[in-house]
Amino acid sequence: MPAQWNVTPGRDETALLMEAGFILREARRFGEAREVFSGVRALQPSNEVPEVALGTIAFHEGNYDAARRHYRKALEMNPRSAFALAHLGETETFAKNHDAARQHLKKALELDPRGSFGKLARGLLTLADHPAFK
Amino acid sequence: MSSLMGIGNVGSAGNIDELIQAASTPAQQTAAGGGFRKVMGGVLGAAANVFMPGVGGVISNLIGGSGAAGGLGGNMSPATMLQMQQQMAMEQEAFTTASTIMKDRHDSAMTAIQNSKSN
Repeated sequence: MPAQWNVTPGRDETALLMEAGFILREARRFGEAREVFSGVRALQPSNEVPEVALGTIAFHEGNYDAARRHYRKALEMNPRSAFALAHLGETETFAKNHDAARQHLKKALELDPRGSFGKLARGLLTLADHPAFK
Repeated sequence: MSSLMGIGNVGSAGNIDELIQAASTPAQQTAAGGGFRKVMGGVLGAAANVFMPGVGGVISNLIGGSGAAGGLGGNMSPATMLQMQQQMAMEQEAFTTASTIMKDRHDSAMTAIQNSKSN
């Protein structure tokens, strides 16, 4: 038996794993979701998406510092990741760092004005400005 | 106090899910007897009367309570009613925004997966 297994999943398999991770996160099974995303990260070390996904788990757990660390790491991998920026903005919004939140969300909106990341950023900007949220 | 205050006061661990929960949780009872419930009871009662006359009063009492402070109007002044209405509109708006964000969050996750599939 080889000392180390050489696992190379296809793109469809990776996507399936990611979807499973997001479903587990939504079911608030954070430990299992973290395990899945960590596995995908190990398989695709240059892909920022599993890193962002790990950040969203920390965010759901209310651990904003850990969430920030994951998002910043994701941004080191891909500085133009609107996905990471939108979620970093979300974390800063809920951490009540409104200036930082606006900065990240506006950048996400610039990078993806018509896509779903931009849409998320736009919604979060609206929320941050809502009087009930301030 | 309304659930809107809950939204404003989402704690340090609060996120969209808690925000949605806060917005969808019925307002807490106040010393005045739960204004939100009274207004809701009144509105639903009036609506029910349109479809089935007479039922409205029952619904109104059921939701709003049938005490002295109970039924539609009760001891509430028009100004209080207006304030309640504004508060409800604001809660509705916050709820809609938060629910839209939850959908956008899901869509963005799916897009990210699709993007990494095609890269």
